[in-house]
Amino acid sequence: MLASDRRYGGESGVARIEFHNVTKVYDGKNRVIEKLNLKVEEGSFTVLVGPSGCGKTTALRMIAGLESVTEGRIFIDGADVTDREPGKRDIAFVFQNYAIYPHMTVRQNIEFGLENARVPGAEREEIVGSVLEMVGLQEYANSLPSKLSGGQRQRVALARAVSKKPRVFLMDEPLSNLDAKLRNQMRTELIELHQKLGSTFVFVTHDQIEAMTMGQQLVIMDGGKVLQKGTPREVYASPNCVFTAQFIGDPGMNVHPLGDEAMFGFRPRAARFSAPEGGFVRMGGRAVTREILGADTLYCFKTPYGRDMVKSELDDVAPGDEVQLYIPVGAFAFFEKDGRRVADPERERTLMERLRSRHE
Amino acid sequence: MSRRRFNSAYLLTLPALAGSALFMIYPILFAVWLSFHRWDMLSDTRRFVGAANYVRVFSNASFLQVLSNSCVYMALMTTLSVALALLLALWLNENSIVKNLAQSAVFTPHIVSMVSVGILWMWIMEPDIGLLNYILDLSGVQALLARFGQEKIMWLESEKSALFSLVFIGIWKSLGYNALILIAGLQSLPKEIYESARLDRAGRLRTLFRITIPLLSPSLFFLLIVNVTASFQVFDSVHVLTRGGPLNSSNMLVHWIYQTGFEFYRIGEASVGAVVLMLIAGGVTYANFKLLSRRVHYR
Repeated sequence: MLASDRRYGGESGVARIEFHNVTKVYDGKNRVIEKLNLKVEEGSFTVLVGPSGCGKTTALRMIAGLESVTEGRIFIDGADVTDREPGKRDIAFVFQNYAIYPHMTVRQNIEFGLENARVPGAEREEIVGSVLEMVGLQEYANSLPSKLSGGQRQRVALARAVSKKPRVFLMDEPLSNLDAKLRNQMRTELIELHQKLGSTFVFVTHDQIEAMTMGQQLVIMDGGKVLQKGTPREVYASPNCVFTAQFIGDPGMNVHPLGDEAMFGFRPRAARFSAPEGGFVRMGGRAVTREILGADTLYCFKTPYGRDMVKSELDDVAPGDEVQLYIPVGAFAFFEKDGRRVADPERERTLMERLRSRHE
Repeated sequence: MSRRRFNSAYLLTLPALAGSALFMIYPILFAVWLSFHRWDMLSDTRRFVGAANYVRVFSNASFLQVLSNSCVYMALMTTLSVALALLLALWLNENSIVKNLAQSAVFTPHIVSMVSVGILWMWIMEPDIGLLNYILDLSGVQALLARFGQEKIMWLESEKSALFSLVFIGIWKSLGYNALILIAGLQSLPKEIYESARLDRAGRLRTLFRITIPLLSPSLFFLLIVNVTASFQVFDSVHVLTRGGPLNSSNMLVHWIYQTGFEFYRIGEASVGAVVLMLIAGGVTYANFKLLSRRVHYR
């Protein structure tokens, strides 16, 4: 379907994206993505998140067709698009550095793609007007990008993306070049945009806070593999591996070895300074640093296991103070030596007993 | 700006200013002064003659031919060399062994001296035993030309072709440098812009004319200015290959100035040529700035 066949305004299409055993190898030896199987639901706001080099950007660029696929197939709405030109996939892509044409005015930037898609002049005019209104840049229509701030440039890029009425919006760290305040504002704007258009959004970031606040679905990646997929609540509350546990959360989970064949972990929020009701594990700790965040205070404690982060509403523990930390039994997570979460409840109970016995 | 900083600015630029005053401004003024004088070399006297030198030079048919030769040479050199360099740059703008070798190959003429390669080109363009006509013969092109009544091309030795042969050699010499500048320009363009163009469904030609050429405009503009001035100033190839002949057909301004001043010792008239050269080169450059600089997009 041509972009011109649809009207702007909530009627942009939605699409489901599927990776079937997709592998990407650079220069014949550098395996960036290994047998990736992933389904992005239609209309969802899906965030691919992971450290740099985890393959998230490559995966996104393969959906767009900017990167070739070494093995496997990619489907959009059931149609195999693996070998289709980027311009013919009915997608829009927003780059980290905006990638708007520096020699064209804001209007020309948006019109360029529409002209290529042979959208008639009057309709182009209408689309440009409405997308510029949407991003609040009407008065800059005839300005060159060099006259705009970073945030305004990224809005031009967004307007250009929206003007194509794509079924899928692909965004590669679009907020990374903006300052902190603007980034927060743009987050909200992107969420609103998604609600308004209802299209499928795939968003790549290395920032777990960005992922948690924006995503409906999180896809956590590391080493070219998908480690976990779920809602922000799911991946926070029940991480299925050490990597996710430590990557998600601000800061991530404290994880330490428990004997030779297992690990235990607890969230910084779970630790208390006084004994809670029910079972708990108690350990001594000396405060090393204290960061007052406002409502909460973040401490780093030196404990028998090394260093542990604790987030608390209390801010009266000073660096150097010796305190007792109490962690409720229910707050612990256990992992096998290879990083997988312990799945068997029986084994979990055994490990819990072993941990408690150390702290009798 | 405070007075102190104003003064120190002049002080710090003084060495450069002194250099350009001595080697640029003084010679220019001296040449202008000379163009209104008659310098008798034997008695070493300079007599003011008003505009007599100008009248004499501009009523000289051979000077007018030299002027027109220079303009033709400049126009052909600049357009062809920059256009060909753009095509070459688009083709060579990749890092592969073959293309890097090709890059070095087209750049080499730029670093060798015109005097030495001039000798080589005299041999290549020699009508009877030269390489060029030999290749035309061998490839059957000469036979084809003969059918249209075109005899063996005399390259540097015919009034019809001498100037164009010099253009050909000039392009050969400058192509590599021009292409190198353009390749550097191309490689500084962000690849996301091209990815955007692909996503925007721009075809190859549309990408070339709407994206690449406008983004390359600072490099293209630079080459335009440099090539215009350099081709007005061409001397060595004329001097080595044709001495301006046959019958003045390939003579150009700087070589004419040299002949008039240092072979015929008519310093006043030679100075008129120098003043004319300066005005034309300056005028064309100024016109380029006026007409084109608004279309150049610096990032």
